[in-house]
Amino acid sequence: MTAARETGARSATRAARFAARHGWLLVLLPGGLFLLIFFCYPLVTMAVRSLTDPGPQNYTEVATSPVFRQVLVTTLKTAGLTTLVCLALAYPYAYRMSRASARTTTVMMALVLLPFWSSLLVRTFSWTVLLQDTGLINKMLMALGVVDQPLQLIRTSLGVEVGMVHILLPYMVLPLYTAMRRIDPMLVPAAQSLGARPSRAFARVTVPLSMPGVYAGAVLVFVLSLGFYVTPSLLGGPKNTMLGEVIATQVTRFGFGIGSALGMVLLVVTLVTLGALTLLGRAGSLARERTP
Amino acid sequence: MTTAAGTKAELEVVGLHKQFNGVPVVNDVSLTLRAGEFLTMLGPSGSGKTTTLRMIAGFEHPDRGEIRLRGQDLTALPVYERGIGMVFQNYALFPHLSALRNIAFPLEMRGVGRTEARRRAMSALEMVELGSQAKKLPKQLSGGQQQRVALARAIVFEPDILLMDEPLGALDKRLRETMQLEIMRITREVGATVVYVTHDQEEALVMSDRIAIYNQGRIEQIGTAQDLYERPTSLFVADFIGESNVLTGHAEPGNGVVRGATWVADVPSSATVTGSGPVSLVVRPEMLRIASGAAPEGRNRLEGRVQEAIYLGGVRKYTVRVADGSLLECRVPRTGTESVLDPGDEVTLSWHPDQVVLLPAAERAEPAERAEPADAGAAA
Repeated sequence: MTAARETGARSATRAARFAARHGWLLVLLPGGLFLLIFFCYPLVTMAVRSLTDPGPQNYTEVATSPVFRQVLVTTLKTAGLTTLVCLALAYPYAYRMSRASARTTTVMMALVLLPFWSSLLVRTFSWTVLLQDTGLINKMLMALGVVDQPLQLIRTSLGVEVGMVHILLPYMVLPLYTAMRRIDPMLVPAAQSLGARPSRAFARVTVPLSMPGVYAGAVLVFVLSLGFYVTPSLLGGPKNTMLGEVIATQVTRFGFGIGSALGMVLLVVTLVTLGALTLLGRAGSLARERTP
Repeated sequence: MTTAAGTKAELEVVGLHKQFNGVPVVNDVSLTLRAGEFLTMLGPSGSGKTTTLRMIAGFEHPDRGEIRLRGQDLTALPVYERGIGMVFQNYALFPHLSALRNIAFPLEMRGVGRTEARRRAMSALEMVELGSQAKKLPKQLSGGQQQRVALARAIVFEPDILLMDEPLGALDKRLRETMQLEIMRITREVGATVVYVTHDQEEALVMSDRIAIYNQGRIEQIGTAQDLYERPTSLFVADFIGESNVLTGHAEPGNGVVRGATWVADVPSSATVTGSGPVSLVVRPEMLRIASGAAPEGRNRLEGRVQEAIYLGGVRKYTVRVADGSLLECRVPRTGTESVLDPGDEVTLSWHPDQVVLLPAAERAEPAERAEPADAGAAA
């Protein structure tokens, strides 16, 4: 009896100890299950269908079709350009924000986050209102006599860029701001006291130390751009078709086979880009550390 | 701005004023440094010493006043053209550059070739005894090592003046003491003229040729450690440097005495106080003689009772409550023949009239350390 009770008590304490040490695993359970059911399962299904619906020839078609190749190039170009434009616009903004007073920072942060409070669809449609031939911008330009014919703003790569940069800018500003806030504010004065003009102090201290933010922001914006669908289809022309739109067309019109294959291609391109950027970033910081 | 060794500069600060949001932080500060001199600015936080340093460096612009380096007015020059080395409180090392490249930075900024810059940086690194750590990043170095790198970086370009803003504040006591000696050795080796800021009086006493005591934006007194300790010109200085017993009384110039409630003292021969009125007598604890038992009437003595007796190894510290209720402190060095007293013993404290300092008492009314103008100076 006593022995049994003792073992019972011992296993109870053991269970308690296990719970204390590994109990935090439990909190991962809901999220883990969710991902398993709604992310991993569809992903695997997609991979399987890309190979079986009707067969692996899906990939041959994707690889040999000039249309698909052209769309892939457009997608990469658009994503790359969006990333660069976002970086150019966000860098000075984030820098200013990281050096501003608490109040200014709050205001600037609110301005960055403002777009998040309205739907992407609504914002894209407002751009069509602004950019179309009879839209606000063209009407104004014509009324002012700057142009006599409406400028082709919508259904161009310009339109796509405007819309995408507008939507993705916060994803560049936030990581840049975080990285810049981490820079010790005494470093630039220190560089100046050592003889660096403000421009050189910026180039030699601020820029290299903000690189983690540049990488993070660039990866985020580039990867999100690759999957864009609504904005290019509303603001772009046929030449600006991106992979997301083609996948949608394929799936709705011809079934899952080729669509899934294209989806897998997009996934691989994204992973390769991520990997390359990570290696690049690591090599960069390693090179900096190694140079004595 | 690099100077050849031997023709080291002389710094002059004349009538410096600075306000932040209408609060005067530096108020009419003037000082002159000889070439190769080590001057420490000492004072409570917010007393204006760091702001003075930042104006010399060029990070703050004075409202009024001039800063001259060997006769040349620096006031209009930007930071990066002043050629002044600075060691910051938190070191401000560049985290993405190795120790060696941190030190080579000021040389590269001056257009020194890469190889030459590396060579000179390496010899500076060796001077601070970190030759083996050249390739390490700042975060891989200990606090003391980072401090040495910061020092090497500030002197590698042979600046005319070296400014140091509480450089040892972040280190523990033992390391701080080692670094004090290290900084003295290195700055002497390169013959640097140093302006050093600290709020640690012991550090100031150990390191400086001269000390400027700051109080509420002004220099209260400037002089050698001995001047300040033995001949303070104000109660603030007497309080700030070392410990002191302050007795308040009335001067009676006619009789050559100072009269307190329960005592009479001779006016010390060094006294500059003339006329009658309230005065303070400052007696250092080691200058008070203590003897057991009541003494016959006389000058320069006080009776009291031992309140506390503390054995400190080389010294015994007694706290004595005297007749008017105040507490005096007395330090007796261990000689082997000194008398040992216990709490409750009746004692007589006495002093030699030339070993006390007589000061006007008036300023006691505003205890300077507490009535500082906010923290504007410290924050700047």
